[in-house]
Amino acid sequence: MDCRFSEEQVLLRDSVKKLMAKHCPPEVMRKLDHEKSYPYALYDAWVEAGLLALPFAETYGGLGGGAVDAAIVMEEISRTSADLSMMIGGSLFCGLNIQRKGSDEQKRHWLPKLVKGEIKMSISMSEPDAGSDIGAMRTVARRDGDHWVIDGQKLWATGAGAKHNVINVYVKTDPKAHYRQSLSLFLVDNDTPGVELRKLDMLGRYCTGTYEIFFKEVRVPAERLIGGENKGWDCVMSGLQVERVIAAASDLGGAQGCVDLALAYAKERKQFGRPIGTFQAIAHMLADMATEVAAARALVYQCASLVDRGEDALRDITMAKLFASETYAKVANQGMQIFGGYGYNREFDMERHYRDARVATVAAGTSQIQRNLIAGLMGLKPQ
Amino acid sequence: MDFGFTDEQNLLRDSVRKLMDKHATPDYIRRLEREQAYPYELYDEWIKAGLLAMPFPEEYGGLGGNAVDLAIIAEEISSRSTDLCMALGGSMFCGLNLLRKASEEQKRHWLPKLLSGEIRFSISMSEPDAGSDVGAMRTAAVREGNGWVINGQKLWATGAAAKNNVINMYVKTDTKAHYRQGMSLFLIDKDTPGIEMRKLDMLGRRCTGTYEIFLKDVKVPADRLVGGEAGLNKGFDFVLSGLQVERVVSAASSCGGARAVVEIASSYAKERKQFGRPIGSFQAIAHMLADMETEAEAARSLMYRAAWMVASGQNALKEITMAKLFCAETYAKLANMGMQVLGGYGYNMEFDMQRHYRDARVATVAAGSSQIQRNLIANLMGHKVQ
Repeated sequence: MDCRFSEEQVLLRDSVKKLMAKHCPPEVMRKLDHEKSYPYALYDAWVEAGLLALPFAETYGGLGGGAVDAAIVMEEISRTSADLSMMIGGSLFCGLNIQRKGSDEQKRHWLPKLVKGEIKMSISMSEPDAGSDIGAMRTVARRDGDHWVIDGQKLWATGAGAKHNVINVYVKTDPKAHYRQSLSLFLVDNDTPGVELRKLDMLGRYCTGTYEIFFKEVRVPAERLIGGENKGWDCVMSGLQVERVIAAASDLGGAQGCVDLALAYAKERKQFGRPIGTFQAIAHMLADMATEVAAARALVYQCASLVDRGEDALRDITMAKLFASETYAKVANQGMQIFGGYGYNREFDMERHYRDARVATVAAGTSQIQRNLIAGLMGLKPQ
Repeated sequence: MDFGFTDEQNLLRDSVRKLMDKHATPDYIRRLEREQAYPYELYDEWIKAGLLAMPFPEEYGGLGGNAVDLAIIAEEISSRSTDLCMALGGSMFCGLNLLRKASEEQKRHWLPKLLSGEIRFSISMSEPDAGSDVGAMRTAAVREGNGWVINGQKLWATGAAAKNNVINMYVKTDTKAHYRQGMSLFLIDKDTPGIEMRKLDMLGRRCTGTYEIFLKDVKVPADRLVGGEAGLNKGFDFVLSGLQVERVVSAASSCGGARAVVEIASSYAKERKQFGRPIGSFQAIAHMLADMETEAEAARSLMYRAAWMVASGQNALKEITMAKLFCAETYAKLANMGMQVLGGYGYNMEFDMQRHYRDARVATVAAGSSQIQRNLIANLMGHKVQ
């Protein structure tokens, strides 16, 4: 047992921390949030620092890192903003999916571009009627010579509208079969003719942006099919553990961000002649917040290290995603209480976390879906 | 980064499991509970298996294990009964305190006896007016000739009356000084003349037993002052130095209890049918169980990480305090949820869930209440809590 980061990992954490402090200090973050703008310069800085390259194999221009490294990056970025972490999270997750499921030619084509920041990647699966119920998916692709033609509508596509983004979209390629045998994964440039994007007005996570996508006879070359025809569900399942490490680490970072803010405020803010953090009512809230975040951290890194060792971590990582996301939402709410009126004020960062945190228990699999899976793995068959 | 156990630790866990399967069957535990009897036979088996010797250095008859080993033992025993774990926990924790703070002569005298099972140790600190507020302690020892005479009254002394038990008792030796400079630790045989004990009727943890102790002119030889003259008035340092290990044991025990509750509730939910199907197939129950499993795992993860920090010699005060708080609260919370899953059967004294529910309730009180843990955590976060 050795629960410590390696020296390289400590260096990595410190360098991400420094990078975020330099390129995204609080005033920059606030401006980004108010303007709802995508921070291209920050993304470039991540690329330059090798953060995008980190978990990929060296053959494709990567640095050969693992899930713990990816978790460190996600945690540190999310301490500033869980919203921003979704930009790198999307590229990492989609890229790792291609590394696992793409052909050698596809990997050589796509991964170096992704690692160098020439392109970004985002995922798109949900539809108006297909959320947790993937079987209700209606967007389809049909073959037309050496192309596929996609028609349909996607929803809640995070980061789909960013410059040079390639949407990793799951569609049905056999409308009659069960979704486990009929989904396929395509890589679609977001400016392909027939693709229409609409940025949606959401409660939080303004910068990465959430989109509705309309596909009207969108022609996609056959070499953009990843993992084989009707093999999309295998792609989803094979990426589940890494996706949840990334999501859970992001939630963890957001939660830590809330504790950081609330702690600093409680030391400064005076009422009744003394810092409010010296009152037990506030101090004990903060102690509970810090304790729950510490528990989430232990769980997340325990899972990430399991994934790195190639062990089946499905049960553990599902618990980590559930626990970390619920913790983020909970401590953001407690942080609001500690900040009082200032928390409610948009000039302070707490209300941003409160808004950003609310979707943590919904995105990347709702808490309800995680609980179904955990209960299933416990041998219960929830219906 | 590697959160996994070593091969030796996996073996240790398996052997404790096997020992408990064999010697602490559900029937045995239920009978002890009913009779409120101390688990002498089981304690002897623990000694035979070297569980008590595990965390002690070889020169005193120990096996040279560390805090993670300690946690494994406490978790596995507690996955049957957190009550029974306290019988071993007291000996372990007090013994480790001696290892750190006693004179060489005292260590050579006491530790081999403890590890061979000849004697047991229990701790006694609380008094009627001194719970979290240690400063309100009134039991005092005064010098008389070569020895000491102790007068006063102690409360909530776990396992104090077990056969061959030596009470590790904190008393005031300088009544005018602040408790941080006025407490000392004495080793007192439980049948020393002048000691009177009363077993208290408690909601749970009935086997190890909780006692009130009256001390009337109890004469204690000088060599029973831990640390010798150098240990005089240093009792609070002893308390602090043992805090991390005590909390490892306590947190690990709560983890084991929490796991037991999830196992009982989960297997019940698979068997119990209502509306024609197992109740675990209803989302309302399945999701409760998924949350229970998740929180128990988060508690374990936090606890073992903290235990590993202690084992590797790092300052883990904050981490282990968080682990104690979180594991205790989790055990109490999950026991309550388990009662709900078991319905009327949970409330029935023939089933084990009510025992956990009763045993769990004191987890957030014993070995430092949750409120005291939160005070300490907040202070370590830089607040000066009042």
